[in-house]
Amino acid sequence: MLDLAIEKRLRGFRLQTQLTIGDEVAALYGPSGAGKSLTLLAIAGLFRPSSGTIRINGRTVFDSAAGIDMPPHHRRVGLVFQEYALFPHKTVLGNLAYGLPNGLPKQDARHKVEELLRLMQLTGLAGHYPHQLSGGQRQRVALGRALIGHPEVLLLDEPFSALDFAVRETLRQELLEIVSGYRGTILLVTHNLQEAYLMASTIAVIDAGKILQVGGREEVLHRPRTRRVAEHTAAKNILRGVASRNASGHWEILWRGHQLVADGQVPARPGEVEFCIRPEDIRLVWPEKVPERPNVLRGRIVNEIQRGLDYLLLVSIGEEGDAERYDLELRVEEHPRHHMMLHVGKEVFLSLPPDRLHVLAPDK
Amino acid sequence: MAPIPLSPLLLSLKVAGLATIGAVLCGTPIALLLARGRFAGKAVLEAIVVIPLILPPTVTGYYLLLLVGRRAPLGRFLEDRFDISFIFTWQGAVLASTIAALPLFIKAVQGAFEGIDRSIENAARTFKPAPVVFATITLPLAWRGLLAGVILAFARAIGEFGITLMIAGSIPGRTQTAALAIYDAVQANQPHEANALALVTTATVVVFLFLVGRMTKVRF
Repeated sequence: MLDLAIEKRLRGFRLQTQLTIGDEVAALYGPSGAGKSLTLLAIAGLFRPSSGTIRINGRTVFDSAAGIDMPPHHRRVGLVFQEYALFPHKTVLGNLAYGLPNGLPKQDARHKVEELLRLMQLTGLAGHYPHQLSGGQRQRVALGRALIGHPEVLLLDEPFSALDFAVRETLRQELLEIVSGYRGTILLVTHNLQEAYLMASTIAVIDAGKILQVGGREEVLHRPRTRRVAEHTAAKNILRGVASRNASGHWEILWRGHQLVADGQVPARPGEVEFCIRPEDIRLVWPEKVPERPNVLRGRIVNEIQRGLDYLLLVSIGEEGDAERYDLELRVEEHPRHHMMLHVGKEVFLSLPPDRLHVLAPDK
Repeated sequence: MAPIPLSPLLLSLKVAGLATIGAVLCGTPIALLLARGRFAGKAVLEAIVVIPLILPPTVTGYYLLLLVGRRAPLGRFLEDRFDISFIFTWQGAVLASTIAALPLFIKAVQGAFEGIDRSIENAARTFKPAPVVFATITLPLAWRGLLAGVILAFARAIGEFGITLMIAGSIPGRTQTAALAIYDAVQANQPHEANALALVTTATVVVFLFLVGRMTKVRF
């Protein structure tokens, strides 16, 4: 359990982070320069906020008002750096053993290191130096070193960014397996949305030093709180309409001459609102099925972008629009694109599922 | 063949050795401060550190004279309280050589400290207290820079002339180091003595560098 509320003013930047995470894997997601790494360093005690508190499992490790600033080695925090930061002058064994508590009997120490070498699949590499290891092996040494002292919080700072695309996927899985036996809080810093979703159950979106939203990964992805979160989570279709309550108590949004029904909580008052729908949530509808589907719009494909494994279709609602001026962006796989004979200029029917239409709260 | 005058050479080694130790002890914290610290007046300190490198040695020596001379408050205090005088003493020669060696040592070591990836030290700090991290991570990683600094400092101290002359003088048997003795030998038209001193000094320095190189596998 990690609980923090910290503030720090730097030149041209203000860090103002507030976050509570249980014993789970959480991702701190945001663009570079958002304050992600700074937050991590503050938790580890390597960067001192000007005010605030940090608690780990109820233990206060930092409290500016009470004058508490526990040194890093007393905080029981494990830290894995972006480039792993292994000690270049020490062997794998030396790197791992550095994390052992002082005064541990030699027998126990050796036992612990050997156990960790096995767990990390590093047996046989104990005498190697970091420069003799592959990227994946280095990551395992860094992870083992961070875990050897049984930290209560494990912090991972962009642990995959130094790796090639091909090994990244494998190592994500590997890391998840290794930490699956770990009981504690894991905070992963990343600027990759897919990675955040893949690794974490909770995602905290941070930008310009502020946490914009914390929630389950589905919630953050499909129900971004504000326009800024929607932009950061690549919701793409951020639209502007007029919201009102219909006779049956549901919310309707008037957009481009269509009354769109929206499910769920609509936090805004009636009137002009911003709402969003993700490109993968928009459904293509066969013309004969149009009457059965909710929120159907007629549009025309004005451009398509091939992305290797899928396509982005840019669709204009109504008669106007061209490759630069389009209304909706939707994602389709190769198969339905081929099956429905989609191409630029073709007329299509789109359904915007009411449970995926999400109204955004105004940004402060 | 005239006997090799050993006493200036031995004095040189003693003075340069002590000056190197002095430069290491004073220079390491300053280098660390310059490499790591973020404070007001850092640029000023940075400039002050290199002054002895740029100023004519006689001017540096003159300033030192003003600072620790018998009439200066600091000089008087040191003499009254600790019975240390730098004027016309071998201790003065050590002080002069230390001041001369400091900038070279600090610059070499500062560079070495700056070259260390901060996250390596940060990773270590999550396990051990800061002084232990300095001893087990920072120093070993800055090893080559430290060694280069020591060699530069020693070489500069052996060759010290101007500052030493200003505060310690050139008293045979007391403050006359090899560098000063060579000058006096040439002035007194004693080429044999000058040759011998020059050769032995050169040989000593070369052997010293060779030994250090052997011990640490650093090439020059």
